[in-house]
Amino acid sequence: MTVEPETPAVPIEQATATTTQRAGTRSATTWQQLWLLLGAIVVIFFTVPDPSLAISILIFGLWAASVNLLLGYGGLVSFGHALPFGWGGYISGLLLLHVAPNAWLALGGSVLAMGVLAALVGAVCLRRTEVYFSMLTLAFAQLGFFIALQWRSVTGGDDGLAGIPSPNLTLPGFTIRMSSIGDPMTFYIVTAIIVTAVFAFLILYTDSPVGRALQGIRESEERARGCGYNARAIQLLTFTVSGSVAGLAGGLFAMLNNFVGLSPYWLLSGVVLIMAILGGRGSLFGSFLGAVVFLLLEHYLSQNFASWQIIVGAVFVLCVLAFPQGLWGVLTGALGRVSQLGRARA
Amino acid sequence: MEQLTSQIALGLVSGALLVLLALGLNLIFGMLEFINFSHGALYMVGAYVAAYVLGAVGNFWIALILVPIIMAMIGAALERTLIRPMYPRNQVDALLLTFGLTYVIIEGVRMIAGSGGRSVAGPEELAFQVSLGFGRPLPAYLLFVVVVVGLVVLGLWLFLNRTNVGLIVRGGIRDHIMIRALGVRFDRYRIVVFAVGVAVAGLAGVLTGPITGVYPEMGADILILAFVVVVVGGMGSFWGSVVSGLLIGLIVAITTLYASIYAGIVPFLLMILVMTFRPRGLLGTT
Repeated sequence: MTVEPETPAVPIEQATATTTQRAGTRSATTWQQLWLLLGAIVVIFFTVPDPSLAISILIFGLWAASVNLLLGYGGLVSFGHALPFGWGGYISGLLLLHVAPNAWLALGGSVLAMGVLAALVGAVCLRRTEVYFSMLTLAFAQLGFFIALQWRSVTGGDDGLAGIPSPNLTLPGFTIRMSSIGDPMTFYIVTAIIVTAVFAFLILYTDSPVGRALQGIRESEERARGCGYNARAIQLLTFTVSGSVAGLAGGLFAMLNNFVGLSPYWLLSGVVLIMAILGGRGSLFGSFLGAVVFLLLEHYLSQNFASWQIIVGAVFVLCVLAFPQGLWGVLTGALGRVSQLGRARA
Repeated sequence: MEQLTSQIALGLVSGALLVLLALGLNLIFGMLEFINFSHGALYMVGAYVAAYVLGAVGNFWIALILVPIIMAMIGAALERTLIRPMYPRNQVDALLLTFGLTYVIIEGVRMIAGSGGRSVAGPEELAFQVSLGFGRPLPAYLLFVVVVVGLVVLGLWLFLNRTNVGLIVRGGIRDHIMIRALGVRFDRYRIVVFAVGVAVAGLAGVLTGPITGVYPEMGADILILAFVVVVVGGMGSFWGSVVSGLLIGLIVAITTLYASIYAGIVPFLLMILVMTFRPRGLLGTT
């Protein structure tokens, strides 16, 4: 964040005019993110050869964006974002298995359940901030992991929840069968539409008064409180939104694989953090890009080099040290400088 | 009853190892206000270095002395290169940096030593059982671990309270310009504190090797537990970490006996309870 120097000499009317103008341009760039996302979705559709990988990229991109809502906009590092992702998957899987193969029901269930769960978890975690918050989210994720591990009759424990049927997506007039193996193209398009819609919602959220207040709290909680904002309530709302979006991503991932596996939550939580930071925590699109880069790196490096994670880890450390704004931040910064140079010449 | 007393003894041993890890973590956090997520990975490195030293020399006692020294040097090198630029940044970035470092270290060890574990032989001199007068007899090595941990706790306490390092570093964190103006080479003190923290983690690794063997992921789960210990005891509180480490070791051991499926969950429940009703931790001050 760049901090504008205070200029008290400017007359008030003029100052207000500048602020409105600046706010105007900012929301324009905010909406550009959606166009960038649509562009990325089209590019991924035509360039990524493996349809399962392409769909994973969309899902993980959404998940990374949800973690970035907390990380980049709220300044809250959640080390437990695998909790709503993992359990969102279980909820969708269980609803599809035992209730009905209906996509609306499964995804709606995941979103709702993970929203409630995140609200409860957040109510405890947000009693503290900074490192304590991170540790508490980590503790809850471990708790969720152990429950999934031990509750074999429901989650399948170590073996995972297998045999989840492909759901039907009923729309007025027609029904789409979401089968990732039988018809991956339809699955991709449906996922892309869902991801874009949720992305648009997230953009609206970050640009809404609540989202602005959230960023204000990140910059200075004391000042935001002084302005009369209920910092905890705003953070809790964001935590809930972020949790439900992660739950949605988990539900989609369960449908993609027709399976929910049990993998150590703190590792998964770490992966999504790496994605968000690698891509850039300054914008939602940045974290989506991080997921794209991470999964492509994984896909191509892991075939040739067993220890590919060491490269990802090293890049990540370098990113935190030298480029806190991530890949997208570096890219946009470079573009900005180039366009400035161009303007200077003209 | 015999089972319970034995389990309590074992709980105290695992609690003692947790105390060692938590103290290193807490030392670095309390004095440098730096959160070290790579602490568990460094503990794992310590265990691996011990396994290699044992393989080369064949003497546990040499490993016990040598490994903390090697780990202190690794810690100092890390501080000088990666950690120092993070001091002016916020804690969250420190957490993320050391998290990435964990990734690199674990993957590096997998690359060098293979992803499978290996067993480590304990000292032959301690390969006998001791009867405690209650419960079943305990391997002498486990008692030795408790004694070493006790000595380290005492040593660390003296280091913090009988030398001026603690005073200087704490003062420096408040106002590093002033402490430098007084002619103190503040950076050197900071490096010492970090190196001591890492050396303690390495020592915990050496001690754990003969009990559980060494494997690349050994630091991951125990690190989370060590964080729980620090938070429950109170961040920055020395005796808080000691008490809560032993407490959590005991609670886990007893739950394992009576309701083993809850053993993994209990520490986290305790942490959530403590954070809800006593956010500063059991013995924390602020």
